[in-house]
Amino acid sequence: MAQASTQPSDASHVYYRFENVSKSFGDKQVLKDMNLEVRRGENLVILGGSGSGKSVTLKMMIGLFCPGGGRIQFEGRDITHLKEHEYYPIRKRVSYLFQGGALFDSMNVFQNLAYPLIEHQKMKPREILPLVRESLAMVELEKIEHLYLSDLSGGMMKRVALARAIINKPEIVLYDEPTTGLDPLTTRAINRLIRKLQNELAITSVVVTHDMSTTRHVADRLCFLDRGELAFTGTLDQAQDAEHPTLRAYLEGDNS
Amino acid sequence: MTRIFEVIGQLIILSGETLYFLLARKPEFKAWVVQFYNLGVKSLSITNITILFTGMVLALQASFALSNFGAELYIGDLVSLSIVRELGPVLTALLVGGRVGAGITAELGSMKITQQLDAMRAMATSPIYKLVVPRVVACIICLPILTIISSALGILGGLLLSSMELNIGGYFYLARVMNALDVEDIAAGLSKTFFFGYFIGIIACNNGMRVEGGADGVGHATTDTVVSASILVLISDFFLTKIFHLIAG
Repeated sequence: MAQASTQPSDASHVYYRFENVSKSFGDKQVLKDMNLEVRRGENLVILGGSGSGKSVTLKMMIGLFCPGGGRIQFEGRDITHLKEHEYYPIRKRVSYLFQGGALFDSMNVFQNLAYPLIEHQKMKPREILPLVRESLAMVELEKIEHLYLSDLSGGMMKRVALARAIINKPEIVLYDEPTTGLDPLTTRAINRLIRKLQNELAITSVVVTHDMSTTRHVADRLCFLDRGELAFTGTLDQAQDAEHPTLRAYLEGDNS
Repeated sequence: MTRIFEVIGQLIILSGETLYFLLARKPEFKAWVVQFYNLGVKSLSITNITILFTGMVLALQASFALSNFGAELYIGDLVSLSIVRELGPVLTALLVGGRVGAGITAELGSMKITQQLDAMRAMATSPIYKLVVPRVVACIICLPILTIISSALGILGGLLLSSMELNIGGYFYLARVMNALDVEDIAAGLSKTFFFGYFIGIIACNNGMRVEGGADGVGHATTDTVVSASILVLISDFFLTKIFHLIAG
């Protein structure tokens, strides 16, 4: 069951608001008239099958994709069609955990984690090292700063990527399939970590997943995407009463 | 045909953005030096060996042709002018286009498909500033230097062949070289290499950053870079030679 968060979500402070957002790639429409809110302090889980438009939604939040129609607001400001450099202030406050980690394979763990600090905070290596260690400790890793990616397992890479995502203390973390392909223990560790970040650092999380165990552990609210349409928005308890057949199949599949 | 205009448009936009970051942002000299080493120093062996032997072959072929007219003594003139004005710049550019261009496209392409370029953007940094600018600058600066070194070795190749096979004295050969070459020849040959370097760098980066699909896409993009850069070097060589000839009067 979902664990209770000590950080109640604040409906009066909405980070993201999607208004009738749609997106197509060529002839294929991946999102249709999506309306969505991401509130301060909450863990919002976007659940859905492969190709339902979950990752596209996440990428539109930091401008990696632009919507084809509709409007996206960040703290009340329209960010639908910003220029690349106009997204930078948002991207400094919002971190993104990529599905494959997207760590720089020419760099070691320390250099990967130091990257955002060097780029934006102009810190020196001796100031960075304690922060790198602290961030790695958050994801339950230690003494791996000098390792290259070829020396890491899939689960370690995901955790290093998560450590990089939180090292500069973002306000929001966007997780793209954070537990896909991981063993149950690592999955549980990452689920715990997402909660811990919410409770200890007041980080808002948007988690895209098709994993019900992650959904149950981290979700304050749940959005269900079905073939590009937002089929359900509400709490997990409300989802139990939902009549949408695919969502029911997800919930019942998890209970069976 | 539409595809050609699409690519030209992409290259113009990427060139504009590269120029913007080059002028507007503080240069990352550390990244530049890494690229000078990777693109320049590591290309030295292939360009030097190729043009050394090209100079030797040129001298050998010239000796056959010139001996019919009793003009073997002018081998130094022929070798030096051919290499400095044409063969040095073009062969160096083709070799660098193959080695370096393919390498840049493969590197950026694999970063693209593993979302490393998106990760840079997501962390509020520009892949153009971090990756494209150092590579294009390194290509533009390294190609002329490689051409100077390889052309000198090509002339040396002619000298070796002339003195060992044709009994032409080394001092005489070098005197003919000095007599044949003037500053205009060197400038005409060298000035083209800046353009060649730019073409190789920008095409390689553009293809790398637009890779779609997986390893297959990287392979296609890499081949495309080598073919496009080679063709563009050869076509632009004709027009640049024509333009420099007109400018020189």
